[in-house]
Amino acid sequence: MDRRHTRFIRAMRFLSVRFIVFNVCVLIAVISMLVCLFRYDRLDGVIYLIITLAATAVYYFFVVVPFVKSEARMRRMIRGFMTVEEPGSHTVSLTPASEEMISAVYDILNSDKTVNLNKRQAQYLALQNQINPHFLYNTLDGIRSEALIAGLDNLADMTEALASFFRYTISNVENLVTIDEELDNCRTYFRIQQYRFGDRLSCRIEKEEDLGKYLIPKLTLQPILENSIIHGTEMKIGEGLTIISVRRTDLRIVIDIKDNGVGMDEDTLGRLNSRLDNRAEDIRNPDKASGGIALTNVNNRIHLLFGQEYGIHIYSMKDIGTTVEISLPAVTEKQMAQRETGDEA
Amino acid sequence: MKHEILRFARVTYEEKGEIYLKDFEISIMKGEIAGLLPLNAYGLTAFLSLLRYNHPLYYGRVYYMGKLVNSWQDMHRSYNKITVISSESSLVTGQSVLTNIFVLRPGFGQYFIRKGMLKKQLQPFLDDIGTDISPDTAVETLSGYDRVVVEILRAVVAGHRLIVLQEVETFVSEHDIEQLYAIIKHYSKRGITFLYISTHFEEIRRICDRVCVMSNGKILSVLDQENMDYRTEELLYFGYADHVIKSLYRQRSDTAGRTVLHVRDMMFPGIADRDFYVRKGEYLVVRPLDHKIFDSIVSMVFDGRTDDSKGFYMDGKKIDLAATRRAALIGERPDENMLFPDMSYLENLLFTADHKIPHLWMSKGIKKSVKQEMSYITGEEVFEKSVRSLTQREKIELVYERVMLQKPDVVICVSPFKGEDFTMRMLILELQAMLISKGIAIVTITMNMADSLSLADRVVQIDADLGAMEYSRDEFGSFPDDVPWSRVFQRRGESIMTHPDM
Repeated sequence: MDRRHTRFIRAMRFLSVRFIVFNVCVLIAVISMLVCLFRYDRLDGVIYLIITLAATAVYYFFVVVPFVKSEARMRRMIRGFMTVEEPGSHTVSLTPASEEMISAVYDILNSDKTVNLNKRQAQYLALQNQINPHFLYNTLDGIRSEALIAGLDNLADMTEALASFFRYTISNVENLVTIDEELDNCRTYFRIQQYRFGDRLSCRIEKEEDLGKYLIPKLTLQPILENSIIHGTEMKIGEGLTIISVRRTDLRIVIDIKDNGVGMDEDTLGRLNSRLDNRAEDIRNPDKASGGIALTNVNNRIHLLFGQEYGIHIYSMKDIGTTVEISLPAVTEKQMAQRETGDEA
Repeated sequence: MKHEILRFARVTYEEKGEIYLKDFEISIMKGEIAGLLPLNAYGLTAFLSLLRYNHPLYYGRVYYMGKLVNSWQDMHRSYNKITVISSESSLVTGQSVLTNIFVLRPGFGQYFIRKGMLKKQLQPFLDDIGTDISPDTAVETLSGYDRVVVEILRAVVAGHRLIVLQEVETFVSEHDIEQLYAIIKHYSKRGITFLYISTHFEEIRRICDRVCVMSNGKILSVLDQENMDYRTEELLYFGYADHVIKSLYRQRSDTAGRTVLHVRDMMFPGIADRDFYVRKGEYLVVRPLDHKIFDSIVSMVFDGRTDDSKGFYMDGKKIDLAATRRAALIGERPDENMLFPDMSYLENLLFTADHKIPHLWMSKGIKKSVKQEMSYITGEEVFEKSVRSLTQREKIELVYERVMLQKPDVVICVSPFKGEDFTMRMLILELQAMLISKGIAIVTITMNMADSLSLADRVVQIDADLGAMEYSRDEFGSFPDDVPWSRVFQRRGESIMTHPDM
């Protein structure tokens, strides 16, 4: 038997008594209408027919359709797609209790606690709480001065890059920064990595004009660049190249972080991409090291800030390379400020 | 700013509980010629169907021309103005080109058809692409190339902004494909977007700006011009290339052996009274460069339409290829067209072996022993299955095993690799190699040599203008780069002729 039918039959068992009663009423109405139509007055039959059709339509649109939608949504949640819409945004709740349940799940999924479940963000917060930033910058500046006096220019440059990186990472706590600021941080991070890898690794940034002003969640690009180096180009024999390209379409801003590293096999790629929309796994096993934590973290933040239609997707083929595509809405600081003012009003 | 004409955003699509597309992400820009390379056919039909019809999604969103047209949160029942052109014509037969382009399109609201006016309207479109197709031509008489052009024109006139071309190189001749590419490029400059689907990377590289590699209902990678090089091709074809190289090293048959088939005084458009010979255990590729020649050869083989002394001869006797058991014919898509779904697996397997085994249909014992013997190759479980429920792999194996049991002198295959993914092409190569190893000659009639070259001993190219040209194996390196595997012959030169270990 068709699986949908089986589901429907199973679903019918869970229907509350009043729906079954309603169903029986419709059946009685149909029978009475048929009786009237063939035995008695034809006019009565027509009236019964209209009433029956109206009742059936009401039943279909107000009972069956919401039920099927609700069923589909719950099934998705069971499989891990924890993408609960805002309560009240869809008329698919069967009862007030189920509406309340959805509201409660929405609150849990969108709470700060959930956002901070990922390790990396928790680490940054810990750093912010424990380290006095000024002490760190002053120390790094001191090391830089000593290095310059000793004629160690490379060490001085490296220390300067490290100071800039920390300043950006742990000082400013705002959620959104401009693409230019993020790209500058990537350049700084790559400068530090180049001291380790030399000319074996290179990074190119390709950006269309005027895209630097658009907003992006802070620390979106650097963790992905780090992944690209550690899991992609570092493991490659020969020269590794990472290209960060920023482009704009009529629908969104797309940032690709592409490397020519070792890539990954189809199964790993499938698992990583599934994890990006499967938030249940993160909540069930937050400490389980199964890879892709940085990507999941960035993806979750984009979802929370901009909605489910934006986020990350990974493309990869073994020995060809990996591309992480980030989709974002084209929002400038001015538009964001206007939006926030509108929300407050 | 670029305009996204199509975007599948993390689409997961299931049908009857089976997931066909998983986290499927593809984006195509306005005026782009994008390629899609399916490494296997899984999910491709679902993708093509979702392009046009907004079936309910399990997850994800679909955007077309900047609008959200399908989403997992809502039920959509509309269709998208997207044209898919494949080997099956979507034109209405019995009607003219003009009728197909104008009258039969949705939204044609005129009660009286004014042909003169419609012809005038069509002429600028024809002039624009420099084609001389007559508007009054019946569509069933069009060549493969003309048919594709008419379908493109119909899409342009109907306002479709995305045209999907599926495996066109398998039914458009080599001569015409460059012209078709010119038309595609012309319209892409006008803002019409093309998605070119082909299982041959070298074909995609000729025309596309970038290519999306698809496998098991997922997009694995998006390769741009920088990455669409020979190194990538070798990586994509890694397992397959290995298989093909092994085929290249196969022990060659003695091409000076006994003639098993003599094709006498054949006449094709532009060619008169030409003889062809096929020798025992030989692999011959017949490659017509024109669709009309291809059609006439195929109809001659299958319909046996020859007269006088012209025709097919075996041991000096004229024979009908479709009737004799000394020859086997394998048409296009044998898994769909060459099996009897109401017959059992065993009956399908044996029905051309009656000349080898006396009283085959009367004796249950013979059938049982054949079943036992064949189950070592096919496995026992397939005999219990209904033919309808066999996988594509099992169906193709069944057709070739049937030919093996028949043990003909020559097998004629028509476009055996057409529309097949890597896995199936590898299987077909294996099965064909198995037939050759039994001393059975194979004649492959195809417009696209594709993978046949790796097994071929000889290639006969038939051109309406230049006549028939024959190439032996040591001349395969002279084929252009875009012919699959020709580079292997160029690179290895003489060394491929004999494997060092053989």
